[in-house]
Formats: sequence, C-alpha cells, structure tokens
Amino acid sequence: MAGFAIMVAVVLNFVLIHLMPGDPAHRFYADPRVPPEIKQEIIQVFGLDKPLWTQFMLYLRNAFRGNFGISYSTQRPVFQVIVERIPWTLAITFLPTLFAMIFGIWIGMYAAWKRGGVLDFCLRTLGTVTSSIPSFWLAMLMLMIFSYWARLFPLMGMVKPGLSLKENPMAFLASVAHHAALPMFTFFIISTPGYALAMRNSVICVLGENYILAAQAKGVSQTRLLWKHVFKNAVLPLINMLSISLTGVIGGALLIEQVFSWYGMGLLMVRMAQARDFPVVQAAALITIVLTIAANFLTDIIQALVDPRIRYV
Amino acid sequence: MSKISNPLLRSLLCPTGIFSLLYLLVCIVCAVFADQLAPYDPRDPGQKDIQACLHGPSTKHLLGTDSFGTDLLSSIIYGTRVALIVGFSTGVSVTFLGAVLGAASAFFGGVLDQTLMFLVDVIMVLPGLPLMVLVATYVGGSYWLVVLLFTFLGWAGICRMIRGKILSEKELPYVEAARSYAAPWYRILFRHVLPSAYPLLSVTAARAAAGSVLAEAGLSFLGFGDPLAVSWGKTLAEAQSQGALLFGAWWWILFPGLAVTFLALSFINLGYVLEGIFNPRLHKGVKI
Repeated sequence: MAGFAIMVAVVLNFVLIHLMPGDPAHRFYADPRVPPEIKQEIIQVFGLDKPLWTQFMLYLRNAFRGNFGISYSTQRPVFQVIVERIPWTLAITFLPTLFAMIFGIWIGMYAAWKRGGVLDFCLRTLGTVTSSIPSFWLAMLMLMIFSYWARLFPLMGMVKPGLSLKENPMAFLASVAHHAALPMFTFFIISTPGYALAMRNSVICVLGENYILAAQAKGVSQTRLLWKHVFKNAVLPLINMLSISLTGVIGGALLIEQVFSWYGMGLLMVRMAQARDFPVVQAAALITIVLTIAANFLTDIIQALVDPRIRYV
Repeated sequence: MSKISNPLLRSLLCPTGIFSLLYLLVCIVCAVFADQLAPYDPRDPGQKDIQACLHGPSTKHLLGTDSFGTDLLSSIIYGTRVALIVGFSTGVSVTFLGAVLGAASAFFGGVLDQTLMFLVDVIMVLPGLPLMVLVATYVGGSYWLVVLLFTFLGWAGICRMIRGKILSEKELPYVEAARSYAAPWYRILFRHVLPSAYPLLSVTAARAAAGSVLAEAGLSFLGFGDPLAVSWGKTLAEAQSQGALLFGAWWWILFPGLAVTFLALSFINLGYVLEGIFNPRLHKGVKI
C-alpha cells in the first residue's frame, strides 16, 4: 500500500515534467544561437533521446539515490537545498503538534466525561470555528496583535541578523526561540481542537461500554476510571488520526511559514515555485509526500504493536 | 418555535441556521450583482483612489483601502464570485463522486470494492496543499484547478464513510423485505438504502465546500491563484506582501479574512441544519 502510494507520487512527478511545453532541457538550448550539434549533445546528455520508459527508469534510479539534479536558481544539488530546510520546519511543527496532542487529549477526556457541560460546549464551538478559520489569516492576526500592537515578538524572519550558531550559540538559539514562539503558538491553537474533538468522540464511545459500568459498579474512583480504564482504550484510535492530521500539518506549515517568512520546507517550495525552479519544487513535493506516507505506514505499525485488537497479518 | 410544523423551517429557525443562510444569501447576491453593488471596480486601474492609499474605514471607503488605493469593500464583493464557484462546485462534485462510488463499492462488493478501497487508502495519505502547489507550478493557477484537485482528493473520505453506512444499512430487514418482492437493485439502492445516507452526505458535502473555500484562499494566498480573478486569498496575499503588517493596516487583513471564515462557517452550519432536516431521528431539530 505505502509502496504503491509512493509510486503514484513518483509517476505523477514524472508525468508533470513531460506535461510541460517543450522538453525538460529546453531552457538550455532555447536560445536560437545554440548550434544544432550542441543541441543534439544536450539532448543526449540528458537522455532525452531515449524512449520514454527508459527515461522513467533513469529518473527512478536517480530519485532513489537522492539525486534530484541541480537547482536552477541556486546552482546547488537539489537534495542539499531541501535537506537544509527540514530542521527549520520541524522546529516550528514538532513541539506544537506534540503539545496540541497532549493538551487536546486531556481536554477531550474531561469534555466527554462532562458531556453537554460548559467545557464540552466550548470545545465543540471552538472546533467548528477553528476548522473554518484560514490558518494563514489567524497567523496574520497573531502578528498584528502580538507583534505590531504589543511589540512582543519580531514581525518576520527566523533569527536576528548577525548572529551565528558557531560564534554565539546561546544567543542564536534564544533569538530563534523568540522568533519561533508565535508560529508555534499559532500551530498549537489550530491543531488542538481537532485532537480534542477526536478524543472526545472516542471517549464517549468507550464510556458506553459495559466494562466501564462494571468498573463504576465495583467502586473505582473517578480519576482511576478515567486514566486507567477509559484513557487506554480511547487513545488507541487516535494514533491513526495522527497520521491523517500529518497532511494537515504539512499544509499548515506551507501557509504559516509564508506568513512568518519562516524559511522552512514550505517557504522553500513557494519561493522556488515562484522562481520557476522546477527540480526543487518537484523534489520537495516528492519528499514531502514520501515522508507523509512513511509516517502513515509507521503509525499503522505502531498501532498494531500497541493495540492487541489489531492484527495485520 | 414549537408551533412551526414544517421540519424544514423549524430546523432553519435557530440562530446559527438563520445567520448562515443569511450570510450565504448575501454572498450569492454579491456574487451575482457585483457590478451593480460594488462602489468601485477593483479590476479597473482608473478607479483606484490614489489620494486615499492605505486609508482606514471611512464614509468614502467603508472598509478602507489597500496600498494601491483599491476599495476593499469592492474587492470583497467581487471576491465572493470565486469563493462561491469553488465552494459550490467542489461540494457538489465531491459529494456526487463519493456517494456514487461509495454506494457502488458497498452494494456490489467484490473486485470493484477492493479496487476502490485501495484507491481510497492511497488518496487519503496524499498531502493536498503541496500537491496543489506542485501542479499549479506547472499548469498555472486557476480556481478550476482547485476544484479539480479537491474533487480528486476529497471523494475518498466520503466514499469510505458512505460505504460503511450502506454496508450496515443493506443488511437491515427492510432491505430484505424490498428484495423479497423482487425490487430491482437500482430501486433498492436509490429509493431505500441511499436516503439513509443523506444526513451524512449533507454534512460531508458542507465540509468539502468549506474546505475548498479555505484551500482556494490558501492557494491564492501563496500566489498560485488565478492571476486575473479577484479573490479573498489574493487580497490577503497582497496585504502580506505589501506590508500591511508593517503599517498596521488592520482593516486590510481583518475584513477579507472574516469573509472567508464566515463563508466556511456558514457552509458547515448549513450542513448540520440539512442533517437535521434529512434525519427524522433528530426530533429536537438541530443541535450544533
């Protein structure tokens, strides 16, 4: 399954290159002054004279070796350009997602326990509202409020100019954290209600089970009931949700990085797309898709490992 | 409220229902009569008020102007066109495709079911926005692209849900009864089984519509929207790139964003209202 999905992404990538008017090396000999012999040579070097399926095989071989060619705009290997950006994206997505999960699970538990209560009502309202707010607009509002009016955080960028990791690591990291606080907070706000709602629904299902009634009947305390009996059973389906929410996180990163001029994978993709640097855009999209699919596969395995009710074999 | 016997009216007459319907109606009116309603034409460079660049809300420009002197109220009114076209067409196409394939998958089973569910599994894990950016880079931005891609990615979730619903529904005695008097399969499917999925369908359709409105705004915001169309996302993108945040031009950011948010909210809420109408088991009307 995962392998097939990756193949779909690879094929899509390959097809898109060939959907373009002209061929991929066109930009190198588009100049009419280029003599026809050189043009032939360029075509040969790029393997464009070979049949389409041979080209596809070559592309596949290179992609698996991490060789995505040279970036048009920076003249450096595409793979290197992209790998440099991954830590920056992780920096603003990983922690907020983790905290959003923990906090969301915690809120979801209590919202479900006091179903129909104030917390539950707030959660459901907030869930609907956050799913209709464009994430990038929320980010812009945050900047307006916290950076423009309150002047608490910088308006853009990732680090104060002039600082470097080697010379002054502490100040560098502090500056990065200062710049990252607002994007992280935005991420946290966007993703928490989703996890909380999923947890709430899952807990409500579990609360209807007979073994909960039995536990209550034998006098298990509320805390113990919630965290020992309900939690374990309710949290397992959420592992699966994590993998699906990953696609949302990636999309969110694309938009939020743009607002905060946070130069991660998302902004790289957008900037390179604007610069018509096709190899980078393509490879970035491919790597993103492959990572997502791999994470999905991983969560499936984790779920099978921790949940004895699920067996894939 | 209890005096109203018509379930349709009763469901609509809750505060959220009325608000959503009103907002949607206003949007539709704006989209159709944009030329008459908008005080200025945002597409016409001659109508930009160069004396009033980046002015806050005033009597002359109710929602203020951007840094080119474009009237923001007019931009927002014209922006409803793209938003509504994208929202409605995606909502309809995704639901139609998802419902038909889901129903077919559950009803006929076998190889068709296996293939479709495999496809669903594959599509569900593809990240939508990067894919849209990738395709938009090559094909060029257009809001029809959003509709197309969202349909391609969106039917999978609905298909799986409808399949589950119909799988459980078709084992019920009333279907057996229908079979016993030799009702043809299409009659069983379309008259008996499929209506049970309408409440679910209305919610998912509304979510798809809201999602596509947000996705279009996002794509335009990233600069991959239709270069010729006026859209809310594009207005926000200009606010971002022209430094509305540096000048504190809150009106430039606030109003287009509110327009997007309210449209998405209205779609989602109307989905719940429709669910209440289609689902006779929800006696109390809508619960949101």
